[in-house]
Amino acid sequence: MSIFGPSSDLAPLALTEDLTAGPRRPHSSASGDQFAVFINFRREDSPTAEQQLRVWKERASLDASRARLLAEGAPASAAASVRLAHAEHLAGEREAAITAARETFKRVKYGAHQGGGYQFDVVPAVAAARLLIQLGHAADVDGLLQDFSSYDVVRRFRAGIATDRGDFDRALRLLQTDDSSSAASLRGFVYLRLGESTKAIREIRKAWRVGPQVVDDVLNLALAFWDVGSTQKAILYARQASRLAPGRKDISFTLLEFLLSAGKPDMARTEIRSIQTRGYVEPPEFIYLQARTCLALGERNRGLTLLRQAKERAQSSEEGRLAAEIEGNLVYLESTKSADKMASRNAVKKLLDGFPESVVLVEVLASMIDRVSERDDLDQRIESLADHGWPKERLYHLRSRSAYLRCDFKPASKFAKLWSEHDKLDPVAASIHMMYLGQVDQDWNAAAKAAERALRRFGCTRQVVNNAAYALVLAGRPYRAAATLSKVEPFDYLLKATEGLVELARGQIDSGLRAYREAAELADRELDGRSIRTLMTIHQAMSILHLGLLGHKDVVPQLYAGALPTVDLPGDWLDRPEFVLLSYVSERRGWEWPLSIGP
Amino acid sequence: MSLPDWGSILRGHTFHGYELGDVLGSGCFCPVFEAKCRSSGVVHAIKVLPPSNLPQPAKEFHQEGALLSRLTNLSHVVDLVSSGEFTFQLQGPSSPVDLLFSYHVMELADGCLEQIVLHRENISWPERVALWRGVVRGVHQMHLNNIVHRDIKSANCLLFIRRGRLSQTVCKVADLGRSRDLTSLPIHSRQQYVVGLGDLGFAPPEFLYLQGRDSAEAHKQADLYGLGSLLFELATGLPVTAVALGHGSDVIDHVLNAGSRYVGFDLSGLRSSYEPAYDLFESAVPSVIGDKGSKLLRQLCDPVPDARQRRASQITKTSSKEKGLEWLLRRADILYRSILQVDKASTNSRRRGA
Repeated sequence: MSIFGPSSDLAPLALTEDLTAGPRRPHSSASGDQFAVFINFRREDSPTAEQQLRVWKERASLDASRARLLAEGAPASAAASVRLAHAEHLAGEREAAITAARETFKRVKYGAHQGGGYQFDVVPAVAAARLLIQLGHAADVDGLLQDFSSYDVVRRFRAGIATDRGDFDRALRLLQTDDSSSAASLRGFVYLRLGESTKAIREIRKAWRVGPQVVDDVLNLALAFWDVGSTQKAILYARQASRLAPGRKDISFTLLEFLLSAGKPDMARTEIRSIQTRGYVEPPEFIYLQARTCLALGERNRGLTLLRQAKERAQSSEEGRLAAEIEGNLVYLESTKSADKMASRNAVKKLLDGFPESVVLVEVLASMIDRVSERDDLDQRIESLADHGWPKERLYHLRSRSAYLRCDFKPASKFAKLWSEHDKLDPVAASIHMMYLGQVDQDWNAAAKAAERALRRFGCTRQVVNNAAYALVLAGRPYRAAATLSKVEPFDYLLKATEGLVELARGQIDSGLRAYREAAELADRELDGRSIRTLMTIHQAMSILHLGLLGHKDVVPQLYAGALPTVDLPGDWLDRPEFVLLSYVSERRGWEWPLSIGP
Repeated sequence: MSLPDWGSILRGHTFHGYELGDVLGSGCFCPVFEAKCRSSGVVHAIKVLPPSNLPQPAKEFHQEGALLSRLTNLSHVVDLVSSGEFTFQLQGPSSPVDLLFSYHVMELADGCLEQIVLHRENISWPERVALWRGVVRGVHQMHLNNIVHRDIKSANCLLFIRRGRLSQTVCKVADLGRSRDLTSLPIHSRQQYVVGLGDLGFAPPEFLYLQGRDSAEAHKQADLYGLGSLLFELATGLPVTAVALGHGSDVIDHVLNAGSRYVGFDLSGLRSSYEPAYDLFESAVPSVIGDKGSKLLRQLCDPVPDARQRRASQITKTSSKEKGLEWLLRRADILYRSILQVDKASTNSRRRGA
């Protein structure tokens, strides 16, 4: 049985803030997000502490005075000038710092003129350029460096500026003749941003052949490997990056996201414990990832408790939207065990009143809607998100969900494809996309290919395994599907039903039908058990029809005897996209709706 | 508050047989004069502590004297000749006022390493590496005497030219005002060790982020950073911390405005920030020592203090008994030999060409 929404182990736990690190430009001055630590410096402990810090500030002023004297005393020294710029900057003399930085360029040119005009001492010029960028004069820097552009270090610096502006072609042109490790790592970053991950991998490896392994390169390599579907290597390098810079929150979170997406919550737990031994202040996002790990391990109660802690931590640090989004996730999870879905949706809507710009709260709401009639103002909310400046890529998921809820399956499939291409860390996106490929686009071979890709990337994630096995069977590969299913246990009603499908496809009619019956019994224990049983009966019929089993006269009596008994469609089936989708598929395949197996 | 120009006021004053001459330089508070000993005719450098109600300069001045007196006759630490006090009568608004000054008489240097750094294009790479090795040796000698410097930068290193040749120049460590005697009780408050006391453009990042500690290990790690920073200065002319972290006064304001309990972060997160500085360094050094030099700089200027020390992988059977900074001296020797070979080869080829 296929799934078109998030399954229990992949509830739409998400935060607006992207916890994973994006590709990071090597040699940029930004240091990345860091874990906080409490340090041994209590100002209230000692009256001298405040005084000491004042002394520190006074010293910065004295150092600047001294640097002024030195720069005056060495009027030809570009180094003296850029040292002065830094000292002024530290002393809080912004304009003087800018003046000194600009003066550096003059001195570099003067120095070259004195020396015959061939050799520029470009290092101070690059340092001055970096400072000018920091002080908000980025626009002038490229021009100031123009005269020194034959130097590799300057070309690399200018390539970095071009990269920051998104001018990747220019960046690559500037780096064309540079064989250094720094240039190769920057090219790797550019290719990663351009989506050319294989080239990125090649360049970063080239950088390592001639230079050291720099943490941002290791991170970029991890992201590139994830991009090309080499999950194991991605995890390996993410772990290596986190060892190189254990304080980098963004890297640790990337590793945890990789492990969770790859269906390795036990390894995620090990990493979490390792992070906890370092004594960092645990930010709400970290507690949230711990909660997701518990949920993925089936520890629902512990997961919910941690989510509540994360919410409290977010509230106490006055991160209102984050707290609301964690609360939204909590409401969703609690709603899966609650009969009062309306109350849960209203609770999320109330949270949205406070934070209408929260894409995550709209996603949570969309995940909680399963009736056409309940779509209500979902489209308006999505448009409102677009008005709030969310890029179109971030809204693919919602647009796919909205089209599904409208029973407009072609656009739903189109957006699911875009969503899975954009969000390569989301197993839900991958698993829904492969189902649309098969059921709506009727291309089970493409679905099977997507399934293989998803399996490589997301491994043992239950939803991916379920949908991948489903796609593989219908693409004519039941043995591969059986091997896939064997990766997870225990089976819930979804996996059990898919096991039934696999068995039928392998010609094991009795065990296949038995699996379907067991799945139906498991489904009966669910809140909406009756509808699920109906859905499963239709799925079973569809599978039998798809596999053409009714054409094998020797098995027909077995099928009639062992198939799930026909159940009437729910009265509101037209209001339920999952039923409408099956009727849509039946209509396209020319099968009589509602589907049933019987004499 | 503007300080009196003690350099001009005291110039020409004579005390205890010394006649104060030109001002050679001045730290934050203490002017340094050239001074001739009337009896011997030897010219010395005299550092003078003017009267002040600021406790910090006096503490640092007396600390320097105490430590230098323990470090006499070391080849790469500046020598203290004597210390004492003198009275100077200053004409007040109504009547003369007697002011008490403290002083240290030290050996007179021919210059300061900072001058070389500002005009580094004038000296060869073997000379730069040799000068750096001299400072490493000075810090090594201090460490063997259980003293840490805590403020290594070119401005605190003095040059003593032998036989009139720069290649024979000895570079000595000076300015021990912020040093710490590891065998005695701290002279500063705990906070002063947490934040460090030196120039922020050269300071190890643990000082900028209030994560310094008053332990022998932490102080030695700060010195290793200082030596890395000096290598960077000799290559680029620039202060490594300022280039890497690019902080302005915001970093100080951040701390001043922080809540009652300052929250810092794991310093390993700063490693990426140092990459642009390493790139500049690699572009500045000759390719023959680019790799070795860069590896050494990355180790010495690692933002994580523990990572600066000699690594287990760098310890061999023969090197396991090395004391102090012998391991770093050995690496400086390797750098020197590598660069010297290329320098000799290029000199020979120039001669042949000529």
